[in-house]
Amino acid sequence: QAKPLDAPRAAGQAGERYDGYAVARPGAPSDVQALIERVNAERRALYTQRAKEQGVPADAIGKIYAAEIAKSVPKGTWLLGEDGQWTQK
Amino acid sequence: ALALDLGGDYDMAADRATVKLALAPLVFAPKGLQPQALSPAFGGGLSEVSGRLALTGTVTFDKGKLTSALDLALGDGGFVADVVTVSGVSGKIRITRPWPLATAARQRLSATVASGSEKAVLDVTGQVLSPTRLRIDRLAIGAAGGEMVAEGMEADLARSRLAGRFEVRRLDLAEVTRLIGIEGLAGTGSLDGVIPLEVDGGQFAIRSGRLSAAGPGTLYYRPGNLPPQIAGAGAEMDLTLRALSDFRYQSLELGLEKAPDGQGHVQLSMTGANPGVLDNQPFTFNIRIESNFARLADLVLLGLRSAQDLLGRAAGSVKP
Amino acid sequence: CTPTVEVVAPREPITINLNIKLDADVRLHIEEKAKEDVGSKAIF
Repeated sequence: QAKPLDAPRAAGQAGERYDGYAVARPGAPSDVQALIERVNAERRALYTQRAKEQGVPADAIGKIYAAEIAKSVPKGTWLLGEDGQWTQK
Repeated sequence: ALALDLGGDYDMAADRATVKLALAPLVFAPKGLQPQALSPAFGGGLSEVSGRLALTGTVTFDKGKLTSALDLALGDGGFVADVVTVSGVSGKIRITRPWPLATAARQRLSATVASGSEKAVLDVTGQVLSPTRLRIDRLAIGAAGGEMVAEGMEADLARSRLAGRFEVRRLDLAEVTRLIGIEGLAGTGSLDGVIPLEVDGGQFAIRSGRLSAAGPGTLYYRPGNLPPQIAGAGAEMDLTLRALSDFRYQSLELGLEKAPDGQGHVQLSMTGANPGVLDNQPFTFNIRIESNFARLADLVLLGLRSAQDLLGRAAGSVKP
Repeated sequence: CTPTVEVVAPREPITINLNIKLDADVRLHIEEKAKEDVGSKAIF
């Protein structure tokens, strides 16, 4: 089933970051930015919960999810690395 | 851009040749000169090399024996290797044999090593006996608010084997608990002790390390919700958790054991009390945590390891 | 008033010995959870 971020990602308005969070691409319209903020808030809650369940730092959780997200998004999705470089899958 | 001036003389009778050389300081920079530019042999696996390197002195070939009095000066050296960023490499090394490399005794080098947000300052005094054998007179590692010092070690670089007895001084328990990264665990106080360390191949082992608190301090464990292994451990655990929610210890001992494959345990022995539990009732805890620390260390390292390569690998062939 | 010093016999400490086996396959467990969540939840 289609997910809210699929269209903005395909349009290059949104990308995925190395720490497991979505991020607005330059020039992204405000509704996409608002969507990204809502999505990230829910992701943060999920990562925090997983961190508690496993007794592991939350940022390690985020990075494992980032790897899974990068695998699941279609080719052409923009990815922001820890070094600040944008690359396209 | 390699400015090297050479001079020398050859004494036919004594079959002795001396070469004087002075290499103008080379300045490496991530966007500028890199070792690979000088020769593919250099800088294997190292990227973003930076710093100043100067080489001056003499090389002598006397009756078939090669010796030298060469000073290698390093300033603000730095490089990136996998997840580790090294900076501030500085020191002057006296090379007594250029090939196979050997140096004079008690040569000193210092550097800062960083991985993720964690940093350690290294200060090494030692001697290169051969390209694969180092004598380390003193290795001091400044990290976690304290210092770990080992003396009189030999390192076999061919089999990357090293054994050393690290004296630990003034480790900050707050830093140590933060580094361990268990959610809800925090402490204060200062630790001293000894960690006998053995490195063999890519793995390290700790043979009955012992750390103890120099004085009283605090330790709290306030997890959001409990990891499964702890939740179901019964009434005694409930009392322990209540006590540990704000424990003021009088004495604290840590026993550390870790086999090369990661299997090991941490033995925490503590006396003290929680003012809010049973009216400051004194407790003696002996908590032994057994695990495969290779996996846990790996997980903590994961938090440190730049996710860039994780993302790069997962995202397949990603061309910048 | 003269402060009264109350001498209370020091109470015996409660001794608690615990042995905790930490499930080390924590990482694998998280990776599986991540795969599952990323595949199913709308926020990914």
